[in-house]
Amino acid sequence: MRFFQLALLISTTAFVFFASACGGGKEIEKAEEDEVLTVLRGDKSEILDPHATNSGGDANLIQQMYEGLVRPSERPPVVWEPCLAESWEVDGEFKTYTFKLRKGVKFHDGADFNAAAVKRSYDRGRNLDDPAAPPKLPYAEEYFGDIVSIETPDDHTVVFKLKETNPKFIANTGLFAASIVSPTAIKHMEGIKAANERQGWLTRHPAGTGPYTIATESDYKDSMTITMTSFDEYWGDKAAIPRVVFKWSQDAKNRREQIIAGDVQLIDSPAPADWKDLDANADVTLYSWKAENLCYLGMNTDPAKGFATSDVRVRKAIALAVNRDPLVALYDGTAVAHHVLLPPVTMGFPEGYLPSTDKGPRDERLAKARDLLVEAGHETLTLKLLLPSVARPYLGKPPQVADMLRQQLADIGITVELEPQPMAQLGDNITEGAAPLVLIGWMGETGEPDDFWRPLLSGGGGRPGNSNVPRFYRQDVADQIDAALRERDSSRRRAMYENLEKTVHEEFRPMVPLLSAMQAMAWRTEVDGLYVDSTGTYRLAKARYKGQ
Amino acid sequence: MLTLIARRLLAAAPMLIGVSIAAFLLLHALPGDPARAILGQRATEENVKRFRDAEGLNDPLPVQYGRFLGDLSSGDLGKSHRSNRDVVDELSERVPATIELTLFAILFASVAGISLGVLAAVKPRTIWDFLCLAFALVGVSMPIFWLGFLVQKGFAGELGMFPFGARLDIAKWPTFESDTGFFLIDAIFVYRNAELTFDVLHHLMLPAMVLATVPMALIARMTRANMLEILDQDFIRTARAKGLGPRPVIMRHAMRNALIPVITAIGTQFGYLLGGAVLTETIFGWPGMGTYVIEAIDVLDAKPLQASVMLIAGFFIAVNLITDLSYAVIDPRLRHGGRKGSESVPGATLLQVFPWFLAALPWLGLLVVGVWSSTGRSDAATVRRAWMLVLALVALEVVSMGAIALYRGWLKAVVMTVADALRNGLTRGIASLVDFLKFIRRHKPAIIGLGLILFMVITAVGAPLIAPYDPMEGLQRYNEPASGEFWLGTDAQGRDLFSRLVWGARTTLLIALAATLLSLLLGTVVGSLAGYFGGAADGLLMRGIDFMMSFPSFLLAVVTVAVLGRSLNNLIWAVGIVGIPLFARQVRAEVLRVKSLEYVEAARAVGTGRVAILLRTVLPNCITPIIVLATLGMGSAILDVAGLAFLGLGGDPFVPEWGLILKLGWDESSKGAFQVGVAGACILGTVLGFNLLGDGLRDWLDPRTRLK
Repeated sequence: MRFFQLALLISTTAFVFFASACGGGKEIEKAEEDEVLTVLRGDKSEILDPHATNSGGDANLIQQMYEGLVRPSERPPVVWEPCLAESWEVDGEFKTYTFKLRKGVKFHDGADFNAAAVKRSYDRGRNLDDPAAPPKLPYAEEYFGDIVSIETPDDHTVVFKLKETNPKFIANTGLFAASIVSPTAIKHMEGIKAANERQGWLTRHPAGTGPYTIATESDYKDSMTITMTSFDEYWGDKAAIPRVVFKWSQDAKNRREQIIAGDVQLIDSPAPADWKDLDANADVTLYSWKAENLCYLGMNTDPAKGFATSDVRVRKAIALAVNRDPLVALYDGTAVAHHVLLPPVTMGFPEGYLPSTDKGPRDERLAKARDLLVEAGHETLTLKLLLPSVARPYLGKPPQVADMLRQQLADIGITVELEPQPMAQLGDNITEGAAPLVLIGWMGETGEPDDFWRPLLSGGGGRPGNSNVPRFYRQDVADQIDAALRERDSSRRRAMYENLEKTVHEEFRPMVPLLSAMQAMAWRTEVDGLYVDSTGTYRLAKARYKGQ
Repeated sequence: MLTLIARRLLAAAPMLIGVSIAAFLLLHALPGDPARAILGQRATEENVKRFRDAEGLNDPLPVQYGRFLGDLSSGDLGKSHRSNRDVVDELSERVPATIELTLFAILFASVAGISLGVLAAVKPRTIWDFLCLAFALVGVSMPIFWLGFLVQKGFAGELGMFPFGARLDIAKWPTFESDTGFFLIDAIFVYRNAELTFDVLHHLMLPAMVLATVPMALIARMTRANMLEILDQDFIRTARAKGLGPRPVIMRHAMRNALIPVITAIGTQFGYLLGGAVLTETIFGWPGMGTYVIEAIDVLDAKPLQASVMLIAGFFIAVNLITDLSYAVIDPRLRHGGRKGSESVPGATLLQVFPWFLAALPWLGLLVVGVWSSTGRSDAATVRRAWMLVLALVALEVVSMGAIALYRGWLKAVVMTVADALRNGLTRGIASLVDFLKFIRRHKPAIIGLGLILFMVITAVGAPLIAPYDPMEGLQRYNEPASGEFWLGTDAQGRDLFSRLVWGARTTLLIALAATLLSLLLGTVVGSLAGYFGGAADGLLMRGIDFMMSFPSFLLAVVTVAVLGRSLNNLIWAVGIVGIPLFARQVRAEVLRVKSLEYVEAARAVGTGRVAILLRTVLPNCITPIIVLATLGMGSAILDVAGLAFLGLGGDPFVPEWGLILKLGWDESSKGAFQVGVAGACILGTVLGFNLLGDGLRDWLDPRTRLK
């Protein structure tokens, strides 16, 4: 009996190993270590259609595969350099932009790059009624809404005509949402009925001009593992590492352990608490940069909502009570205290200006704040504060920061109730102005001040826009924001933005800017040539293993 | 047998309909406008409107439900708004991952658990026995994510023996493509590559071991208990007397008999793990069903959530059905008898169900309006009207029930019961306590448990005296190590960690107590009504309970918090609600047992009313096993709360609650490791205490162990 059982066990094991070891199964390739670069990211990528997404996680991957007419400089500040366009001209009014296109460029699907391709791609990317359009075009209205016509006088020239003066249009053409998609792929998508499926198809069959591509459908395993292969016919220098695998782990601790163990070669957004350790590690390079972002406390100004914050004295009192030092400490020194709307890296940042509420020792400010509250008739006050339930790039630890603010506002008799909400829900409540206080932030994408002013403190049609957290809309301020956008003289433009900051923060105080978070990536020292460009996107095309 | 199967299948049908309605309503109950969630923050009003029209989101709910059922029957589960892929496609990647992990975990748990249990039973009162018991208790008391953290840090991080997560090193096998979804099967039979097989196994090992902890503990414990019982029986003595060696006695005679219930338990555990691997999958980044649900909740992606809920519930219903039927196969008594009072709705006439349905209506309305108004989707006037209507209905019912109660003397019964309880409770309570204390003098584990709980309770009560600092006040000293000034250092917000843990004892125990009381109260009401009145009431109530039990409890809590919103109160509700079935079932069983006893017959014979009998005679005699259950329930409530907090569903983080403290430490990565460690240890210690005490109480109540 025992012998029989033992024999059964041994023969089963033997069978399994025989089955697996004798070969004869499906062929499988085993990659050499220096042929693959593994990237472990905190974000997932699910929509790899440049026109259809506004997720930073998607954008990073899209920019390995797609290119626009211009691209950002390698090092900050952001300067727009030739990419698929070799040169461009702008008329004196900043209403007509003429691009001369690069010759001999091929798309991943073999199509030729030319003026018609550019026009076709822009048409798809800015018009929801286009037969090949995805279900949503998050950037179309804001960035390409003012295009009147796109003309193609010859195969290698494209002319954009705009409704109104727009000196920042070049930056718009450099946005990942302006990436050029192959006309062959667009033609194919015209045959797909559902807009959702067009976007899904493009995600699995990328057709850009970039150094990497997803070679076969199965390389997009699921949104968690994506394999890219270098594109042989790339017009520039071919990528040195033939394969890149993108993996996903939400947990910063896990990413840190894996880069230290050498299981992966590149990780994004390491936890601020780990920066020092990673930097000290001889096997790991930590690269950090000042990013174009802002974390702030929005205060509802809408009198119709009836919150105490609709009184500017209450808003000023809150601003007086906020102390940014402990918040910066929460970020382990990976953020800088911030007092105005625009991040320091953005044009129009008012160097040296400090709002009057942010000056002086804290005791005095607290006393002033209490006086203001008494004056406003709110000696004690309870306010609800909404915050995102998941980390954001500008707000690594939402509950911790919110909790710190709660402690600080308690000093002037304001009781704060915290309510974390998923982003989708929070977005609704922001648009509705559902709470007096919201802890949130914003990221710029092109180094343009208008990317901050218009969505956050202005709107359209006499109403605050969807992302306008304080529900703040004043015609005079909105007019100034418009005027600043149209101003062609750059030094005058800068002055206009600086003035706007002073007006808004001294007179209306709709928000308390808190900090601007730095960002970081870490990679193994055996990898050379990796870099993060001036807009904060990592570029893998020049990466190579040392000694390769 | 055939009729039993038919009846069971019939009873499952309304549950499936219930599940589909619940899943459908989930889309509307989730906070946030689905249209805006899909289109994103930059969408214009016009686009949102266009989308709502196109998707039929403005149609009346019944029309939408009809369409939902239509889609469902054609296998269309919708699309994830985040990825825009068919949910069916996504599930076909995720489900095999979870099944593979779970099968492996169950295999591991069974082999290790049974071996340990048998060893302990064969060598009682040795180090093996002690190890088995200790392991079994610590295993079920451990916050699983905490264990995962320790194991990952140790085996994958420090020792580098295992990979960190994922199912395969995809960088090494760039062309790997799964034909079956099960990587192990692919590796062995499709690719026939030994190195690949090893790689897959290597990735599977660590998460499977962590996931196996709880079932392994339960299996070991159950095996030990059954083996001990069997080894004590006459036929074993006979076999030994015949001169059989110890091996055949144990292997052939004892084990075979002892393992039948264990195998059933393994089946049930398998069902739980499939839906309940949320925490393990999250820690190890395993792309399975659990992480799928959490990802969907994070971005309020309704369709994947709907589909997962239906799939998991459907699977659960199937497992329960199979378990029920297998019992019938094993136990012939169930095939014929046991029909009365415990059978399902189809046996009851509509007329019998109707009054109960009518009585439940206002309360259901209250629940529906509550959820609906909290979504804020309708204007204030409509909501107010709905509230008025529902409250009027409830008031009407309360008043009329009160009148009936007064007329039939029920109120008097309630008052007398309370008076009785006050009068007898003290004397009887003290007597029982003395008796229990006498008993556990010989029961070391229970003493340890009682000690642990007393320690925590004293800490909780004396928190203001013990804690040197305010647990919520920042001291402007961040992430400091332990020192004379701060005994356990400070956290990232500059608060004294020791004070937070001390106050945490208070909050954690109170939350667990509130949740347990909630489930106890509601469970007792449901269970006693069902058990005592039987018939239609029983059928209706127990189907409701079965419906709740068709979801793994932790997953149910996760979804409940997602719907209600993230706050401490909602946490209590979520954990409390998922505990109801446990109590309802136990109370029902107890009531069924007690109500056929002679003294109840006697009370009935002297003409006491039904409610009075239930309240004064039946319930007081059911109370002791319920206390045991409540003690064990406290432990699992603490674990559930901590697990939810770990997943970021815990609400306001300034509250010093152990799960939240642990989570805050977790967010600090390397700097929070110590905080994670101590908070986890507090949770482990307390849960262990409740489990030890619960075991002691159970032994005290069990006449068999008492006599020994």
